[in-house]
Amino acid sequence: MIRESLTPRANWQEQFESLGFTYHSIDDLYWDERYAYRFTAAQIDAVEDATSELHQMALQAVEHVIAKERLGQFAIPEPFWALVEESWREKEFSLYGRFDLSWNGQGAPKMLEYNADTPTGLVESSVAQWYWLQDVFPQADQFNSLHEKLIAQWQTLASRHQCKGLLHFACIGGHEEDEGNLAYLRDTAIQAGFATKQLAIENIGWDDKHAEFVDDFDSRIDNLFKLYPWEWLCREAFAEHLLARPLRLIEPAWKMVLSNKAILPVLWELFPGHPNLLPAFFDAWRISGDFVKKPLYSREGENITIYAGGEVHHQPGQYGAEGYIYQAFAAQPKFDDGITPAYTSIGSWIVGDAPAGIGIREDVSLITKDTSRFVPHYFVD
Amino acid sequence: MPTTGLLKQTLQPAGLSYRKSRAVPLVLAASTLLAGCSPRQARDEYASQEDCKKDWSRPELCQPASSSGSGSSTHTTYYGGRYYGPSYDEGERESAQRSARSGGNSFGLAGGESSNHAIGRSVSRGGFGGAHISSAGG
Repeated sequence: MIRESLTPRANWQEQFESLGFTYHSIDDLYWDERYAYRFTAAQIDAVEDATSELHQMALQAVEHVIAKERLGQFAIPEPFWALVEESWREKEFSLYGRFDLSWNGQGAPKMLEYNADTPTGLVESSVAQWYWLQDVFPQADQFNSLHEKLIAQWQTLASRHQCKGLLHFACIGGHEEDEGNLAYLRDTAIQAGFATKQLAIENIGWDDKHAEFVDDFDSRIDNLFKLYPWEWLCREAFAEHLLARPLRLIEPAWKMVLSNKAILPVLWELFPGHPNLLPAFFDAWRISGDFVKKPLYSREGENITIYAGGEVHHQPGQYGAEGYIYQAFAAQPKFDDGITPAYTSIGSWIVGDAPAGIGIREDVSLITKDTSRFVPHYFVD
Repeated sequence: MPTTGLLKQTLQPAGLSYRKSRAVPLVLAASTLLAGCSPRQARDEYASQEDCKKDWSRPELCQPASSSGSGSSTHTTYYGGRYYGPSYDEGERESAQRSARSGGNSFGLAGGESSNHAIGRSVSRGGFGGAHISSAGG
């Protein structure tokens, strides 16, 4: 795993805008092709194997949490416990997720968390770095089969899960990054053969007369991909209507278990000492050495506090009311060329149950945030 | 939603096993740019074909409610006898109805009159998404 300095392509902004990746320079510098990470094929094998194993362990952890009635530890509202269990027992369709890993290319990648409900960075991982590769290293390979795997997974929704009818896609209106991710996922669903429609989640209506969710034109919503977290859905005004299951939701309710930091101590309980896991606990007193305090619900690094090397690194935010877990600290590798020093984390994608690629984020701090830069990668034999 | 058609497809040489996608064609490229530039389409839903005909005059404009909303679908499901009227630009329902009637040659409305036999709904909105202004992704 080597960080290389490169000369950016002359026309990359125009290319990305033509692909719908309009937020490439959000916060001044987001997509950053001044650098690229080079891996060996063996290193990619290691990431892929770790991702596959972590996903299988995560599924076993969901079974454990439901069977042992531990949903209360996850701060999931009690009225939704039955929904989570039904969703899991029925093996409701899941499209994707993303593990965040700490790894320097040697030894075992360490799982930081599992973004299993609303992972973003998909356009960058699937589309942008693929086009970059064609231009910069056309003979090299890249761990990125996201596009074809997403289309194939949508096709299983039709064939294996008998999903028929219009597929609605919703996210927060007016948020460029979320809308970009959503539009791309919708694109892959269209290519899989679905009729689709995109709308803002705040425009979803509830028809009390027919007990149906409807879109902004009052047409019934039967299938909804929501880029909107379950922990918000089940605490909002329409939450009670979800309990009668008037529509199919993607990601499904069982993903509430995996998209929650409480899964980290559960995994450590079930697989103590596993090389891809970090020690994690519900109680702070159980952890020794440097550690990270993480809210059960948090995104983009908000409200995470690192206690390491006698220093405290804190990222403010709006999370933490539901509680915290405590995870051993595994510093991301640091690369410093004297120009743009970076701590690096690897997002490793799952589509269905299969590893599907990686995306790399860089930040000047140890906490990966929504402003952290995205840097492409390639690998050679 | 307008589409730009498929972008170029870069195919890999046969016989090589890559971990990268063979091609990444897009059908909604730049949709985020175009979404605000084109009128959105609306359709009315009816409890029966007869109700639909009352609004649109021409039976060929009324279709059984199915999955054929947009895009290309291989799936069709019929919902309890409901029907859709034709698509029209959002906010242009009355002019679309007048146009449909004039096409029928004998169903002109009195000036300014509009009919509405679409299914009555009791819809409330804002029950999701109102409290969060930050990104929902992570």
